[in-house]
Amino acid sequence: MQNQYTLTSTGRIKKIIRHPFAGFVLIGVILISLQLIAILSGGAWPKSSMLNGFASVMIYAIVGYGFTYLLGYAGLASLGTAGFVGLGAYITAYVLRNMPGVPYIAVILGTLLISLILGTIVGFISLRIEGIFLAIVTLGLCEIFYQLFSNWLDFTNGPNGASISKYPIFQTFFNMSRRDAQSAFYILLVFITVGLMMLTYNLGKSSTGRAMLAMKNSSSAAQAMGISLLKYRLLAFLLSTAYAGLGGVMFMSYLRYSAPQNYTIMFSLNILAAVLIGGSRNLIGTFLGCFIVFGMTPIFLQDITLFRENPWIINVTIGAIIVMVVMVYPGGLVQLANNVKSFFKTTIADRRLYKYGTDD
Amino acid sequence: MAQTTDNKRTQKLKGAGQRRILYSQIEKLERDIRVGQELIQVEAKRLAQKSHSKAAAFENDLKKDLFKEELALQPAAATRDVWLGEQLPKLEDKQRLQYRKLRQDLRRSENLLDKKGRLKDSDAQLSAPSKKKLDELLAEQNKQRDELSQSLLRKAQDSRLDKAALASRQAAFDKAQADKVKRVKDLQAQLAKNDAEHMAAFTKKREARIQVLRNKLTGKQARLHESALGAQYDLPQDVCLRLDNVSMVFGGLRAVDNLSFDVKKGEIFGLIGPNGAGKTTVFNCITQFYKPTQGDIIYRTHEGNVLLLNYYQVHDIITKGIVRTFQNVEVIGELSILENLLIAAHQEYTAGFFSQMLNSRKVRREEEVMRERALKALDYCGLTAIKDLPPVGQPYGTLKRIELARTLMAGANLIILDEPAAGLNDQETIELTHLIRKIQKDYDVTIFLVEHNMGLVMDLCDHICAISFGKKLAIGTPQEIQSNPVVQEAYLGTDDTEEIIAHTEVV
Amino acid sequence: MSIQDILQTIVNSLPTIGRYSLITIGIVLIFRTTATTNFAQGLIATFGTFLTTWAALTYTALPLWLCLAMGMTASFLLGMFVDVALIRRARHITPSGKQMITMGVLMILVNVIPVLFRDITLWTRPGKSFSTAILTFNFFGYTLNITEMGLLCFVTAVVVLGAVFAALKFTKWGLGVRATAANESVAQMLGVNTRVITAFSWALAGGIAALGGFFTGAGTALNVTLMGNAQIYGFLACVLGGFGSFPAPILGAVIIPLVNNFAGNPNLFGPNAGMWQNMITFIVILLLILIFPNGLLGKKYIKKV
Repeated sequence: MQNQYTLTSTGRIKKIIRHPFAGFVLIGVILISLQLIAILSGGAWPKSSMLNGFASVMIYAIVGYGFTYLLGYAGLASLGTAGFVGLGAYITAYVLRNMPGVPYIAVILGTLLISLILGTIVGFISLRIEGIFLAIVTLGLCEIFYQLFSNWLDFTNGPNGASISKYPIFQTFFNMSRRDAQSAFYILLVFITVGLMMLTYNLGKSSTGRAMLAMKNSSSAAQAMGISLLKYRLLAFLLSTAYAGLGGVMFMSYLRYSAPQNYTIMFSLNILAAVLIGGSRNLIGTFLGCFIVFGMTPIFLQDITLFRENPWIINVTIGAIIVMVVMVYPGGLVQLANNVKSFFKTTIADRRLYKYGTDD
Repeated sequence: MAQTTDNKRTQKLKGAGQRRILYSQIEKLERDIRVGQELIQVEAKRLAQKSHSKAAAFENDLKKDLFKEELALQPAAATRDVWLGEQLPKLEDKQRLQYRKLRQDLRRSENLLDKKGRLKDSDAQLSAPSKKKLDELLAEQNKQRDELSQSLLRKAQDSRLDKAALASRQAAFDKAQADKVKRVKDLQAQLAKNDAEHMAAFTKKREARIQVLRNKLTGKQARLHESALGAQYDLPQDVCLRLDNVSMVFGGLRAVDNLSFDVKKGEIFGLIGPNGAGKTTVFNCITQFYKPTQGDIIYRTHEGNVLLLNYYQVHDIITKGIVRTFQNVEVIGELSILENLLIAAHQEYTAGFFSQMLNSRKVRREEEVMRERALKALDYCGLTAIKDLPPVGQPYGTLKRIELARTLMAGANLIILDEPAAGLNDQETIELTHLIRKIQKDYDVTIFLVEHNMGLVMDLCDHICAISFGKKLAIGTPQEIQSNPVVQEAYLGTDDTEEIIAHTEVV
Repeated sequence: MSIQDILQTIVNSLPTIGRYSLITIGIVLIFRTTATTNFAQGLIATFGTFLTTWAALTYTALPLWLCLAMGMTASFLLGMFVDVALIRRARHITPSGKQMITMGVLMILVNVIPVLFRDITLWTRPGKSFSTAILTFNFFGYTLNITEMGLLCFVTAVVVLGAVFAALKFTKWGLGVRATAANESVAQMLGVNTRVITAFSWALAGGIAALGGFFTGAGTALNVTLMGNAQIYGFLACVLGGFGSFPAPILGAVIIPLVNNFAGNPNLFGPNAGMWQNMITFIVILLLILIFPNGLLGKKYIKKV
């Protein structure tokens, strides 16, 4: 006679933790709790500058998720991201300022549409030009956008930057106060970020993601297996520009101000750095990478005098990290995490061996 | 033979264009039908699994409730055994660790261990006093276990019920037990009934869908047949692939020069020739990696449609049932072996882009179907053990088998193998020969291969074509080729060869 | 547009052609020997220029050419350092990866240079400044003018480029470079010391680029983004001309300033031409690249599958 209950409760919890979405939801929960604590403590901690820092991390992360399709899945080096983000931001500003009454959702969809059209164009360009030269051409593209933003005064208000006065939806529709609208928009951002993480993950694990990886690793084999290079390259660009455009909309909606100086090559390089640091395909890694590249300064380092007065230290460190990641740790943070895990495992195993000897 | 006058060509092109559209529609329909059928099997399997685990969980819950009662009613010894079964392993583990720790400490004190804690010399023995200490510990531990057993027995005995209570509760228990068995049976019956209903509805819906698709298919095929009556390309019924005066010119280099041959349906056909003869170029022309400068490549699909492959793009070739392997093994290093196979079925996926983003039920079902296919293909090629590993670091022979497994994923009609035995030793080559023959028989495909290993080629192929400098030297059965003097001179070696070797040695 | 105008526009482009060719030759040297598109090229040039300026401003007794030599040496060494320390160790990494390494170097340099050379913003030397003289000359009856510095720049560029091409063709080093460019492993097997060759190529590219930086910055306020434009245009020149040979990108370096100056000519595009000048240039170049994806003088390689 034997007792054969299957353990159910711990097993179920383990299954939930192992689910890939668990990490995404955890990040969302942490972010929202920060906001709730701020509301409850009446703004004492976390300070609003810290929350703004987290919000910009989320916005950059949205752009980063799109970039993972380009870099991690399709293996295309594109430096034009900044331009598309700026485009989204400026379209938002223009429409919300000059066309009152247009619903916010229309702005988002309109931006997506325009981004898709432009993304298609860039995608077609990428078919004519080989891998590393594409980086050069998209660099030029980034410059074109920058010139456009600086010079097309009617659309972008030039070097003075564009702005919107109220938070969309929450101030315009619900008539909340500025502070409340900011908090509400922050929470909306969290939902958008986590939701996008899930969608991006699903797409990456599906046949589309696999097709892009095949295309990246071996274009001949991919073609022989029925994957049209044209289609998937275009798709990679479409997705990344759509995400970038959406990020731009969020940028303008939350920060409510933006100038051409925001959208230089350094922006594109920083996104590249963030995605690379995280491990080009991993979404949580991308989020952490964005946190390191974009978030450390406004959230923590602002308070340390050394870093506030010498911002170059952080940027130099980021540059050095890029070099090290490419040379030594191509898998980025994900590889680092795995190595740490296996290090602990081996250390524990060694300890056991020392203490108890071999089992014979 | 294809006619090459201009207006006739343009005339046929229009018809050909229509036919191409029909072909792609037909392929899509066939694909949907295939996936639909496999979906039914996968759904049945899934339901069976689900019901099984539901019933098992239910039974477990009921058992839990009755278990305590069962224990109380058992004779003391049996109850003790159960409790012992729960508690003894924990005690034993603890004791085991205790023993090992003591042994390790003793060994360390006698300097038998290296820095890491392993024995320096595997036969080293402890001294007698140490051994005595260990035996003492073992005896102590034995005593502990006995004590535990005794205490549990006493506990069991104390908690036994008296005769009267025993009888009544036994009766109640038996009734509850029978009740439980009945309830489990009822649940299983209910689940089975639900499953059967669901499957019936599901199958009916799917079959209806499939029937609709089949009707569409017959319609399209009828139209195709009409339109094909005007087609200029025709193959004898038994020919699968025909190269008709194919030439491939790169700048000044004629890589393939007016090559023509037929590959019969269901046979294994070999292409041999010295290095640089243009064999891989022929492959690439057939699979449309290069467009032939001249000439036609005519192919008969599984359903009997005759196509001119020149009109198709390289990524559409697989939809016609032509799959290939590569001379330099091209596997995707960033994915696991299983996922590598899933890519091969890429064209079979029907779910749309947004469904994939949302991971809809359709996507999940299709993924299941493809996974089943991949597992079958892996099993067929003997790769199941390593299916979740990345292909990086696997031995070369394994990589070749992965490529071969890939060809089984998408309903192939013609499998093209580019030097499948390159880099394999004799044993592996023999296994490969068997595998290729097996594939040809089980999957009913035509196989076209390029190979340098003459043993494999002569053994395996039904017909062989020998080429040199892009030109055809000879075509025939292995015996004919072996005895053909032109082929011998160009490739296999003649009796004169020995003289030449002797002469060079002197020098 | 009158012929006078056209000729003058062409002459106006000559200094820029000179500057861009100096940077372009560096880029193509690096690319052909190490298969890397060096995104930090402009900054290496900027580094040298800043050093030249600092030397000139701090040690006012030194003649200018000596300071220039110091700056070029600094860039020379920096280029060599990047190759030896980073690129050489990253041999096994794809060209894309090497490109990203140079992007990292770019990020480091763009932040370090302003810190190192904190106080240099204006290139003026007490008592000495760059000549702003304009030379006028007669060309087939048309009066054209060009700044003295501009002419100097163009002539220097022609001389330097000539020297480099002569070296490539006639010296042992040049042969080594061409061999390494064709196939590094085979060159190694044939006894070419590819390490020295690549290190020297990077160094030379750096030094020449510093010369270009000097001419770019002469007479203007110095900023770390000095060579930003030049680098982008330099890369585009390489893609436009074709990476397949050494002289081809120079063709690109000639075409781009011409297009730029014509695009900015008010006679052609109206009074606001200056605003859209860069955009038009980019779009024209992009179109040309799309039409000739392997470069104007490039060759298409078919890969064997």
